[in-house]
Amino acid sequence: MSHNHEHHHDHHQESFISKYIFSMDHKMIAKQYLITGMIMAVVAALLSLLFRLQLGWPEDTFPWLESLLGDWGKGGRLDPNFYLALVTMHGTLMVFFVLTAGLSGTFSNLLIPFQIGARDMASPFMNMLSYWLFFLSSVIMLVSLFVESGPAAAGWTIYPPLSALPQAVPGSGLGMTLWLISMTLFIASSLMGSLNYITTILNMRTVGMKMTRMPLTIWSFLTTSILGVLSFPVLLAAAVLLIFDRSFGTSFYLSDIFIAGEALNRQGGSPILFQHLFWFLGHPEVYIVLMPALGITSEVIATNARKPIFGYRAMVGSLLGISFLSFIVWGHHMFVTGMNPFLGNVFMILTLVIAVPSAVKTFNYLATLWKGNIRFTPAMLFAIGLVSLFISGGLTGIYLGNAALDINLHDTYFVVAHFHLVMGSASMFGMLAGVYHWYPKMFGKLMNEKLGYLHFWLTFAAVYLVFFPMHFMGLDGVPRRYYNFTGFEYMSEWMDLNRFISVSAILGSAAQLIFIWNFFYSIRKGKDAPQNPWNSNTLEWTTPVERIHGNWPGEIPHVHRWPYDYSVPGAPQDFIPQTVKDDDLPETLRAPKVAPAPEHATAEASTTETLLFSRFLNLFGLKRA
Amino acid sequence: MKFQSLTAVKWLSSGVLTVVFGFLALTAVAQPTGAELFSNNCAACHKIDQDLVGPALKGIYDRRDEAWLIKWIRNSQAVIASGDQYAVDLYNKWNKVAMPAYDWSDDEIKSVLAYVKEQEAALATQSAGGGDGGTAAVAAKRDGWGNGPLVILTIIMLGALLLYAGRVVSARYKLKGVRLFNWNNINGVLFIVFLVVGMALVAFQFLKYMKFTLPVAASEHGVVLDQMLAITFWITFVVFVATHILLFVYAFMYRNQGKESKALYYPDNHKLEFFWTVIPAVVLTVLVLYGTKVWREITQGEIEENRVELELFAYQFGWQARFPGADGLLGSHDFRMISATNSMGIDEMDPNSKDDLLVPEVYLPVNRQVVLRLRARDVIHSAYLPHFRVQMNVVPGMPTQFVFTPTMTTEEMREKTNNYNFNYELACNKICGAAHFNMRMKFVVVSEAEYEAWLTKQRTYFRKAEAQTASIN
Repeated sequence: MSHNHEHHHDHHQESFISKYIFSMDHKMIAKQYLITGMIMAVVAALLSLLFRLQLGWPEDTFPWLESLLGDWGKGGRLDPNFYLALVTMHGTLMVFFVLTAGLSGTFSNLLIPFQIGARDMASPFMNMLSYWLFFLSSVIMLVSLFVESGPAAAGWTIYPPLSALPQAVPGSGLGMTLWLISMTLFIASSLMGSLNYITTILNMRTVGMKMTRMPLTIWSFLTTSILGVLSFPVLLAAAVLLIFDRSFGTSFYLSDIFIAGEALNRQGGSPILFQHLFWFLGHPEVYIVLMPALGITSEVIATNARKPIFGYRAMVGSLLGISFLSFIVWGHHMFVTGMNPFLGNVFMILTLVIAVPSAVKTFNYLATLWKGNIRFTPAMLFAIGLVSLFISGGLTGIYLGNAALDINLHDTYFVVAHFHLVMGSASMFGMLAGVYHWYPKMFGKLMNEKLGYLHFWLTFAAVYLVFFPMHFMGLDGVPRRYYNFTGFEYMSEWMDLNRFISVSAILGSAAQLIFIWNFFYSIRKGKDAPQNPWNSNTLEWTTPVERIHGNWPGEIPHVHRWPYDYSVPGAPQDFIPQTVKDDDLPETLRAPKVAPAPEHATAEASTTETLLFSRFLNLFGLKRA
Repeated sequence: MKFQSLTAVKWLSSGVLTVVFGFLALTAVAQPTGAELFSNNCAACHKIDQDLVGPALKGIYDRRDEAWLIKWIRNSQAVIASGDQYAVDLYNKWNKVAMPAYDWSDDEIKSVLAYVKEQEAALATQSAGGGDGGTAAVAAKRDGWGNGPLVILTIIMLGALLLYAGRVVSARYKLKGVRLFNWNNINGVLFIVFLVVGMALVAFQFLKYMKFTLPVAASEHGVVLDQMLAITFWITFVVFVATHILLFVYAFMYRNQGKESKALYYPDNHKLEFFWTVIPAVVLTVLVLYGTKVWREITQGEIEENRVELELFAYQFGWQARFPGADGLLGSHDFRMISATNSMGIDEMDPNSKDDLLVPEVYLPVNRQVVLRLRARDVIHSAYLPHFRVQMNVVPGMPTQFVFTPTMTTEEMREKTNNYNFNYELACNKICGAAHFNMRMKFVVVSEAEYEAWLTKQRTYFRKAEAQTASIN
């Protein structure tokens, strides 16, 4: 852990290719992930604007659509098949490419070595490979937008038989094949990344960086990676079986189908089997997306409220609890598939249990803000925004997790509102908070704060204007993935609201241009960042601004305390970095800290509850005395 | 002689009766106009002026003659099989999606074609901007986005201008060593503004949109569901408001206000944490227990003796419904028996199939238990009847079912909602392809007597067989 590499990493010359392209440096790989993720986010947002156009103005024609999309926009109207393709690709790109790879890939890579005190990842080569597989998979996914029969159009959940049979929807031809190839590469990339993150966190912490002294970001990356390693292979299995069904005539998911004028010679399979496999990944995936955002938020809120995160142990415990539970709740996506109703009961109970650790997290955030000394950096604004979205979207989960209520809400706009708030927007806010907060670490510059404020307020307002009203449509039984709502009398009354949502979405997306401009402009022209711009305790701020290879010019610093010693009474400053020894603190601070508590002032296991918890940690070998 | 004349009378009268009833039955079924036939059968896949699953029907008269069209509509697969080049090309061009066969008379088909022509003319006058001004939709069509882009542009320019002005002004103050804006204060205050405006908007939306949401449930279990929805709503709404007030008020109250601001070092409080772990756990336990009880009642309730059973069959892109005939049993089925003339794959050898009724729309008697048996032909669909709080996926190869009891007739619902166009409608709620949004079927809930009357008017699956038995009698 404390091996001191004597040679100076920053001295040897690197070629352009090994520095910027096939880089093995975790900081460069993080930036590559971030930029790729941003490109994918822009594409995904533009796709969503196209279908919002259709939903807002279903009766109108837009001649430029035909120039842009050719046959898919014949006569200035979106083709219904292409509408489904847009919905599918928007979901796929956002969930996997932006919020899984873009978010985890960026911040796990950037922060794990930095915050645990390591020179790089356990395997820098595998790290590079992981990025390039992701890049390849992104390219293939984007290429699928240009094939003649259109990209995949069976929804991002690609339920067979729709996704298995090109006769069912044109997108299930070459588009779906490319989707599956792309996702296979993506999963390989994600597994390499996750294994690397876990290994690095467990083995390469610097001296004194006990598990219980790790920042919550690292905890969240750890649990996220464990989820990824355990669940992505199941999606891989599902995808491989689907490839077999599509290309080699097997019938894992197909049975009793008559389509395009013929009865298929496929029997004995079950489309529901795919759903079980898909959601066995799919549900943990929600937390793979969300947990890094929660970790980032914990760090940003503590730093900018100048207060220790409230209930560190409970925060870690709730991450572990959520991770565990997320594996046994997948059936709540399938209440109305015809699954055995008894299973419905089981999954409902487990699903609602997961609300408890989520509630603990929310209250702990609130308690951290209470009596803080809040500094509204753009990152802090987005972190507070995340808490708000997490509450709003999380509460509607209580409706959808209830099998009985789900009967009438399943697959309606209520669901669209729910997951866009709690998973989509909240994670996106976490990602943006992370970018604003660690931008100085990535580029050595500061982003323009005022543009950051503007970006936040416009985005925050737009998110609520777009997604909040959708709950009402859901309560009216308006189904999702509908090309238009003019056919049904009871749905047609939402015309005006749909238009309003579309306008809000367009404005909200336009506000992202502020961010993109700020991001790229500041790389060159931003103010130079000081070494520790936010007066933060964590290790990454002890590295030089220049971002050298190997992170620290000399020896890797040792850690002497947990990362949340903010506003400790009697301390000379309102923060005590993790590298500060107790001996360097004023006499008054040393005494109470050393005597009863091994880590920090209140770590004493005073109640049975904490005692149990530390025993629980001991089980995993997490607490080293 | 007497005997003979009696037989003759008997024969004659039964013949007359057969003819009369046959005619009545025919007229009862043959009543639908071209418009109705079109919207019930064609609209799922065809639009007048836009390609959907099948081609736009505009100008269909010019493309093919009437005789060909009649042949095609009656059995498109037969036309293709006969080697007609145009038909084969058409079939290939449209992704080999077979158009269902429609067992219609010449007049019925002509009425549909007439309807297409009529609609085409109506659209032509609309786009010409003539007539009585048209509908709002037509006006909107001409306007496109109206002055939307202009408004957006203005907003952006105003924003840029403000930004620039702010920069100039603050730069001048900076020179004097004064900070003009305290952004920490501004952001803190904005959270309060956001809270107040946001909550006002939430209230406004509730006032404006709740009346658009589903009316009172029209089924027995639906009423229970709605109660649970209300309980869940009030619990979550209180939490939503309370936590947001705390969040935004804390953000404002505890903002940094200069050098003397200090945070409280307060890393833990086990009692507090215990408290807010247990409270949600207790509330959720109550909801779970209630939820599981209701869920069990809905999914594992008793099947009643006098239930109405029917089969809903989903395909790309529409629904078919089948009632068992007098025997109360649905004939068996096999997907390999599906053909252009037997679109549900009903087993013709099964005696139970003979009296099965194929219906274009579903009538249900009020206050009687209904068992929906669900079957799909090609991909997964979902039978969604939001007004009854009914939803169940329809999965190829895996029959599913849903049991419910309608409690309000269509008439009662019309009065209740004060909407005399109201109809219960079945929608597809699982993504299934291009015309997913267009899979409709009308459900009508009527009194027991009306239901029985309606049933007698439906044609059985094997009309031919039926006619034969009638003539033997």
